[in-house]
Amino acid sequence: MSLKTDIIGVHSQRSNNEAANGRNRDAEAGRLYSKIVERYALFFDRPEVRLRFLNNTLAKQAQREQQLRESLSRWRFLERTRLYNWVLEARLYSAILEELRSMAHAVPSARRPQLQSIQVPFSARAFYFLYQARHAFYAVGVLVTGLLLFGMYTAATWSARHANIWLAQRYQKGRAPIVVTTVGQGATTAFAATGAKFLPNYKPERVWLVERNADTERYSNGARILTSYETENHPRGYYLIPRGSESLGESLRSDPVGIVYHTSESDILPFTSDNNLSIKQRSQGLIEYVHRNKSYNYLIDRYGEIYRIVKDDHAAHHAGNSIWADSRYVYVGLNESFIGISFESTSTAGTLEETLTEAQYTAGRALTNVLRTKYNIEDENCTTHGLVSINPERMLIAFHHDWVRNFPFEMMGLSDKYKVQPSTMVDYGFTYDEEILEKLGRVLWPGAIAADEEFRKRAEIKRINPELFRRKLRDRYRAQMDKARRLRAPDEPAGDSPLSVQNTSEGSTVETGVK
Amino acid sequence: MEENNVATGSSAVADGEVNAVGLDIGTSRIVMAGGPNGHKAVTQLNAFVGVPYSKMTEAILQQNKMVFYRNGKELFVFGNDSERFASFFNAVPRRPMQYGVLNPQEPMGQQIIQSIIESILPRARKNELLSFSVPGKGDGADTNLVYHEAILKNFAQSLGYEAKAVNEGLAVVFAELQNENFTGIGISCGGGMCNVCVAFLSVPMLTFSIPLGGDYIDSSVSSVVDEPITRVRLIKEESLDLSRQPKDKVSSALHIYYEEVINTLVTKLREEFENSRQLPKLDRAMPIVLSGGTAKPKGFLQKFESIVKSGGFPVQISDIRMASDPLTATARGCYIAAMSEVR
Repeated sequence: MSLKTDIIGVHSQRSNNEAANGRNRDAEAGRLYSKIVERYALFFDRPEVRLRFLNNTLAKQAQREQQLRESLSRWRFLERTRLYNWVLEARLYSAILEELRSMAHAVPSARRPQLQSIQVPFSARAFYFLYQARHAFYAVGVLVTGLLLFGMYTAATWSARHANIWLAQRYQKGRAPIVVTTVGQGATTAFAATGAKFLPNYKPERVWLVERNADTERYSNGARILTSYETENHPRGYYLIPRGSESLGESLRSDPVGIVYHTSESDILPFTSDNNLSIKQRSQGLIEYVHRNKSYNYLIDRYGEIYRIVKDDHAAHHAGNSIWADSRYVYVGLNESFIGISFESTSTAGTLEETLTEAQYTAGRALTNVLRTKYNIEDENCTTHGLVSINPERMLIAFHHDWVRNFPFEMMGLSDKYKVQPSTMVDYGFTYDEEILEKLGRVLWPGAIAADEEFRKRAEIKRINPELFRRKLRDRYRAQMDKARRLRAPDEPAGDSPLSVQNTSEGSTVETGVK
Repeated sequence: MEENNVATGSSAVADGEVNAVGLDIGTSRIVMAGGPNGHKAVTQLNAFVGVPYSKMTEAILQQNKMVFYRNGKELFVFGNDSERFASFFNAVPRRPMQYGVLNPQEPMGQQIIQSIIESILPRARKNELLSFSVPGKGDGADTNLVYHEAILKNFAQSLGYEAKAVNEGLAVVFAELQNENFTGIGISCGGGMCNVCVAFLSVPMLTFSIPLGGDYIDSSVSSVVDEPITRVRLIKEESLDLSRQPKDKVSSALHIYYEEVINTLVTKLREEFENSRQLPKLDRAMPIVLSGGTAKPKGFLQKFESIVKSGGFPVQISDIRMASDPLTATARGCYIAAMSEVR
């Protein structure tokens, strides 16, 4: 009741001071509202309908005025402005229109045309429209909020991505190059830059074979190699090419000189106990596949079981077109000279992030130590597929990306080869393009950045255009590769060799089997 | 049971659509307004007569089709029949209410009033609205008002109605001041008290009551002229003309006490106006409507008008008029209040 009395000009609830200040103004406003309401009440002849109209309109207006007052409680001064009165009046008209509409059926038919042509201020019509369309406004509000949030999310991810790209470009374009230096090496020395001596004092303990039975070998460091899937391919054979020389290869060798680590890039399941059976089934399928295709020398499944696939003294089809060099020799076509170890793993969708299980780390380190002891393999020749893989036609590095970053060298007891300037770039002028940069998330490993710079310096020292220099080195690589291929198939033309690599018409290469 | 046809304005509503009832519960009469647009009014005297139970008395009542209520060893004839029965047995009817509220001195009051209401109300439809009148606040009667309103509300709800109380004076405003958009002063002069409501656009600004009414006049006159109350009441209702000089001592006494009641009422109204801070500043004159059985005698309106004009009034009065039907105005107003809530 007090709310209604407020509307018709009686403000009983206010304090004396407030009342004194606003009494006249409120009385005037009350009189105005009363007159407006009364004018429209005359549309209704029936007393109960007229009474309902008056009651509802006054109650609505009272409620709205109360709401307006509460919402303006911190800005009381606004109540003394014309805007406040204007809003209240418009809201009153809006309440009247609402009631007229809801009670139109009670208006005598003779007066209905008058009802249609009521002169109502535009502001009132606007308020009425807003009120009627409030649900649509709410819906639009929700939609706009949703779009805004989505837009903010998109903008944030876009900004982050572009900031990342910008940073990557900044550091790659030589504005702030990552300079890789190694102890005791001159920056322009061809060989010095490639030495990997980050763990100079580390030597794996001596490992020996403890026992061998029909399908297992057990070693003193706990490594257990399952040999039931062991198969033959062809005996290893490769030429040693002295580093920095133009020789195509002289002395022939057949012992493994290094290790290349791979991932199977096969489908994997979440590593949880309830997936045991499925994990084993997938591993089994993978083993059979790599066995059939003689893809690697070793495969380490997700439970850390080590399977020998291709005998150590035979080449597996694991590295394809590839180059690596140690401090003395360059090796081209690493299938022949390097042992391929693959971890059953795959990269996270859209990234190059690989995940190994704890068991795979342990088994990988144990197997590395077994092989290093057995074949006297130097740390500097333990590398990854991503670091050695090349596209010879386009002279590009990183044709395959497995372990192009994040290989746990240290956990395998090895030095970090990402800091080594790859021979592919330094000695042969292989480079990268936009496509490769995109694939690598526009981040090259530090050794590659340093090698790129190193190659340019060498071209500068030789006073030769880098592209010409690159072409010359490519020819050298091709000659060395041809010679290596002829070693395997002396009677076949160079391009049709039975080695693990097949040339494609586009000039890129495709390896058989999995990576 | 008396039935009146009462006009309540133009209507396009067909019979049977109405689902609200107005009930004026006065000290001397209970009036129900209902039917299409409240056209129908049913009135019962709010009185009863008790006689000791005997089979013969019960048979007589049944033969005469009188409405009665038996309570152990007593029979109670109530409503309009109570007057006939009282004159038949030369008894004085008792009242379940006094000064506008339930009579605490009358132990059978609540049962009787419930019986009268039951006899007067039609069967309630689902959630049918009922507005009943209650007096305004008076001197020291506030606690009784709360009790009175609650008991009557319970009665109505027990009969299946959705009940709501309306101030008696406001009900008069609703019934009679439609053309003024329910702005004005409604006065109901009943048997037990006079109720006043000053309303602005249907909103009650000022309500009060004075405990003077028809019963006060009757009993006072009866005591000063030593005549039975029933005879005084008969003279009052049938031949009293307040606009003419009194011819006998009963009329003379009635003039005196009527004047006292009107004077008290107008004086109180002036005081309330002057003391109230609740009233809006009015930029136009207000009408006054008089209703109720006590306002029915000829010349009441003129007397009231002359008293108002003689002493001046704090607000401008446009006109003073009698309700179209003073006996049913409150009930019709209650009906309008109930109908305004119907959706």
